[in-house]
Amino acid sequence: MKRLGLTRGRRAALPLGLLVAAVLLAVAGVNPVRSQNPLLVAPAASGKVSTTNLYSSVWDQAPSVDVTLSMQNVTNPMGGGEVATVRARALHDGKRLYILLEWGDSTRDLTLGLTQYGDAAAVEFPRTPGKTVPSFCMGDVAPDRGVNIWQWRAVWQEDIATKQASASIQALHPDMQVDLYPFRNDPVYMTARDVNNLVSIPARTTPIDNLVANQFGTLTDAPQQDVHGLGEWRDGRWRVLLYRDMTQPAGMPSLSPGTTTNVALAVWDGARGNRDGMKSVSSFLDLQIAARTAGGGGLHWGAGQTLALLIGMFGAATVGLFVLIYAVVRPPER
Amino acid sequence: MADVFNWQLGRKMRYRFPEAHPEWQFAAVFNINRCIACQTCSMACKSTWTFSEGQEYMWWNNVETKPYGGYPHQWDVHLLQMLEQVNPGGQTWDAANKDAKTAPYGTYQGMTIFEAAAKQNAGQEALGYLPKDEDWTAPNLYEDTARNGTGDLRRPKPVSLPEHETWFFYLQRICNHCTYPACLAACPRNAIYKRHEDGIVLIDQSRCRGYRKCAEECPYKKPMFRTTTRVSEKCIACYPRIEGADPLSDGVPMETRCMSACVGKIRLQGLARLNSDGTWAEDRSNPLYFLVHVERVALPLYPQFGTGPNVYYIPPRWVPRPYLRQMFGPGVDDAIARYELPSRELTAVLQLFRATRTVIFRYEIQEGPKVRDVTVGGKTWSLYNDTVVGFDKRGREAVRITVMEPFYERPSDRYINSV
Repeated sequence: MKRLGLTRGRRAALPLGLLVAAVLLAVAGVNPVRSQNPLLVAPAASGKVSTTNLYSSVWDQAPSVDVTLSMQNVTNPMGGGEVATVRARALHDGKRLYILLEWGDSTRDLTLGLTQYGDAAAVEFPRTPGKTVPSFCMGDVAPDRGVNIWQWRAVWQEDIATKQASASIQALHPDMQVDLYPFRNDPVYMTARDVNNLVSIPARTTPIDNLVANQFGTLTDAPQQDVHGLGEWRDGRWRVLLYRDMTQPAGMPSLSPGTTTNVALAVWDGARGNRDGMKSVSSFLDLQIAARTAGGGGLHWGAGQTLALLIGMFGAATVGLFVLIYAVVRPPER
Repeated sequence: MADVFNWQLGRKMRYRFPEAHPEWQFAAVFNINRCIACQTCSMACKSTWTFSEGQEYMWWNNVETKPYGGYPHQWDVHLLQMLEQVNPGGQTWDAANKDAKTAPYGTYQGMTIFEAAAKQNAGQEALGYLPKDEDWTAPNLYEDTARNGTGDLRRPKPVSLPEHETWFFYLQRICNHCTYPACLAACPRNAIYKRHEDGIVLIDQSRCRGYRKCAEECPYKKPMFRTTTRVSEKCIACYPRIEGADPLSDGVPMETRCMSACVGKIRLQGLARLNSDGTWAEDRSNPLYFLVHVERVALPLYPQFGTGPNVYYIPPRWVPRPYLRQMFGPGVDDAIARYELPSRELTAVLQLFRATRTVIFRYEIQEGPKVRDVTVGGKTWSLYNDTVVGFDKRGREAVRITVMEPFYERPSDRYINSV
């Protein structure tokens, strides 16, 4: 301690300052996550979680976690890392799990031309929560070590908003002249659509794909497309909501209040050529689905929480005061 | 990552997957000397496969004019430049280190696009770039722009054989259905596969998610992104015809649309039986085997890229050799020498080009009389009117054709105005 050249009083004030800072961060609802043991808590929402208003005050109940993202540099193609952090929040209503992601992106990118890519975001869960923790890199080969991925894409959001496939040739090249498209309504000539590739279907009902993977290169549509949500770009930031029923059929991760699983996050910035593995990605966080009753492990913010916080602050201040007095009053060591 | 053998380079090279070669390999020979750039092949393909919305710019078959043309623009010189930047001055061949089966053109000492990517450590499987929208705007930009020996296009020098001072030629391009496809290695989703039965490389339209890594890393730029379906598509080698599933095929392999529509009779397509190491199995009476491995008049396009392309070209006689050696490897000089004074057998086999749309698996030559002797470059060359017979996969006769065009002289007094 002498190396730091601190007086005893200042030494005592250091932990106190940290304590106060921690309390203030807790009040602000911010959990500054680094790479170790990040925790995302999904409190039980009091009131309805809006699926249309991403700026609803219901999200004030959810503590936010700023998750550090990094470049994907494990497998080809490598890339990403341009989006440094994504702010994550989670809620549940006993039936559905809601995840809200938010990150800065100065451009709103849709997949349009041959060299343009769309913005996107994804969350990833182990397919067997609580039993095994697969690699956060798209899971492992063993059947019980796979992952379930929900991927939202900006272009699908636009398709839903405009009620058409937004990247039409007319939109791309409005002045282009084509005399004739033979068999225009025959689906066989829109091959990927004809084989029901989810990427290609024009009339989407959700901007989010439900996918499964067991190691790199195996990402595949899940049989059931039941993840819903909404993305909105406002003032240089994307805010994206993803939600699904917590009770799932066999093979997909079922969640319930009071349990903990893992979640990894990824963000793609289309303007920087991000697609596939070229993304900004986190490792696994712990995702805690809080029990429904207040104080039962959740961070449902109500009167009880406010009271607890006030008591905590009073206690911390009292302890700090005593430490300070002790440091000042006690004679220096010889 | 695996070490695989590439006979076109006469050596092993690195590739994402270990060797697993198909039983048969889709292959073709294009005789550049004969092409008139009528684009009938391009239109045959277009009107069969790429006439729909989102495919407007897709020419799975295109004919471009060298040295300036290219579709997408500068596709080849762009990549050659990138390769040079990664391995300056290193793209050389040891042409003396040859073996008829395993190194017919010598040994490549430079870097393939796979090796260059590894050296560059840029997090991708093969060196490549994604063409911009404008690179796809005009399939025949610089069409018929000749390269002038003086560098002055306004005052071309007079022609002098065997190489023109002012020159150009047409390059006919489809997907090469490569032995080691860069598109397949590049696809992070494993949505691209090479078929065991015929070596045709396809993009699974149900798995592709439109990442365009194939379009970026294919050196020949044949996978193309379709904005309307948001996935990539590529030449499918008219596989229903190769399978004999087309109603016209009579149950045996039939040549693709671009091949069978060729007006200039420059194309011959077939299937080559492979050994387990990817080399061609001895098949002396298969016309493709004869052209590629016996006479060696047909050469792969940019073999140094390392993908093992399966369309082989008879190089144009009149083009400066350094240019051709860069494009087709060190086998160019021998190939042109053999083509300029073709052997009796080669003269006959060249008649099979476009004589039938049925894939020829075997040919026979029935010797005919000598027609005449010709002196070429001080050497005497004899022309024989032999008959060549081609057989389909089931061994049935598919075509019979003579070296000399059948000639009938009609009596002049029988028809009015000789009609």
